[in-house]
Amino acid sequence: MRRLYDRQTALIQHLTAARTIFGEDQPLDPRLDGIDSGRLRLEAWSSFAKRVGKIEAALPRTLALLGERRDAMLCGFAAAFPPTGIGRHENARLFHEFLCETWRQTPPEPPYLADVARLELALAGVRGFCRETTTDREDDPAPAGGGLAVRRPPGMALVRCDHDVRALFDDEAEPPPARPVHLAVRRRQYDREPGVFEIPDWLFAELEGLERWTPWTDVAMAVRPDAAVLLADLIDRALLEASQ
Amino acid sequence: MTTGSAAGAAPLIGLGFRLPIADWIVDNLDRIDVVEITVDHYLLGSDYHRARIRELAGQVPVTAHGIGLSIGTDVPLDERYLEQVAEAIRDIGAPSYSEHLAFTKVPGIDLANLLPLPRTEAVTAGVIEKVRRVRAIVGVPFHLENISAIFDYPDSVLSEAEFLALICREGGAGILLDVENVHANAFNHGFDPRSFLDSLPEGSVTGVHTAGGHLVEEDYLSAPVWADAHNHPVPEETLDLLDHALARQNPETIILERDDRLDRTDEVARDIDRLRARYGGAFRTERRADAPAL
Repeated sequence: MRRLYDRQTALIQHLTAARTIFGEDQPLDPRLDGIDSGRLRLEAWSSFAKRVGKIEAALPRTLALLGERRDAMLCGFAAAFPPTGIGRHENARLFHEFLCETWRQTPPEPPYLADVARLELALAGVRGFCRETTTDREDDPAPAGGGLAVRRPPGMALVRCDHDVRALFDDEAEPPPARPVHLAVRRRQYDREPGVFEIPDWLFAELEGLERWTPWTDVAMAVRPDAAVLLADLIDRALLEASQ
Repeated sequence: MTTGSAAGAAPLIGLGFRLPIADWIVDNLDRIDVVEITVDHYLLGSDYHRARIRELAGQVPVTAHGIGLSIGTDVPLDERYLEQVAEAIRDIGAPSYSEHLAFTKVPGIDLANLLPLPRTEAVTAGVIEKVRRVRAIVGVPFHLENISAIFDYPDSVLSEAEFLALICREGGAGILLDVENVHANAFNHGFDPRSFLDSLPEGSVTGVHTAGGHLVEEDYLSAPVWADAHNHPVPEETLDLLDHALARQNPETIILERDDRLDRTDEVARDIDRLRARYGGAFRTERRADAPAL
């Protein structure tokens, strides 16, 4: 049966290779001898098309803004990042990672494309987050005993942008202003869609540091004159969780 | 092994749950007897997605169908995954679980698409053992589905029907018969689909999938290929095959699979109505009162 495993590995490597997907001539792995290479190419292309469909569902504006470079980017992505899972967000995350690597060599065009991708990925992540099944905070139980503690809600994303690209998500066509913004992206547990909120940079920094339960008295904003009102507002908008 | 519904009972007519048409499904429960939940969508889904599934499960009978098991990969079963599947099945109250006679991945790379297996005696024996283990872990009746496969292996010695029937019989699973996949494979590999159906033991089919695909023609293909894309109405030829199958089979459910062009709910509605008119009983309103045992 080891021979079967070897064949299966060779088959999946062949089907996920950019050369196969995009029809470049190549000798077939001997372990795949006797299998119709044309049909393997169709299988590879169909599987990749499904994968691109998942990425497009998560990052539609990013892909649209790539314009003429879209196909070349997807070809490069196929070569660099073989698929590792069925999830939409996971595949989108890998594509975003590929884009960032590419943009380190050649800045994105238009310049705000990186911000669109960053915000779009955050929205996809927040949209797909499941509080019921998340395990990344199992070692952060709510503090016992008295005293208020706060933390950033699980599944909330914090996104720094160099351009305020939010209007693009309302289908406005104008290029976004080059204005740094700090955004919080969150969805209440059973809401259909996430909300995006611009927050001051000092609050952004505070929330970055509040991944785990923290006594309110240890939080910098607790000493503000408007702390009580601020705390109530942040909890009401689901930008902060309180232990009481 | 389950043996299908009681003789003479009409199958339940339903469709696979897809989040983009969740509202449409809820609004059209008067034409739907059963909803098939893709268990991996539940396991990986958001709070909102899981809530919508639970909402449905409280209103209509549901079945559980998986895409992540990859029973044919030549490695030990992922039993942790199966335990999660078992928990999901309990959460939604599904009375059965189905998966594909296929593989989708090897460690480190997941194609996320169904691939055929070489139909040899060694592969058959290996999958039979895994079927028995799956049944032991999930604890509900288990059914295996035939897939569409556009390529085959030169060393396959069993026919597709023999392969499927033998594994299910010896493993203790029911057959989830995808008639569109039979239609597609017959087109792509040149065999008689009715002979395939006649090769399945009488009464071994516990459920049916139907779907619509399309023809693919590319210059690198030696002949056109029928793609099981789940994106078009069910072809009449596929329903003719189902007619033929039902002369010897008595499935509990007939599920319409639709994954793409979901904005065309008019097509989805028409397909469900066609299935009901052809195979279903009058809508059984009593099922609403105490959702199901299938």
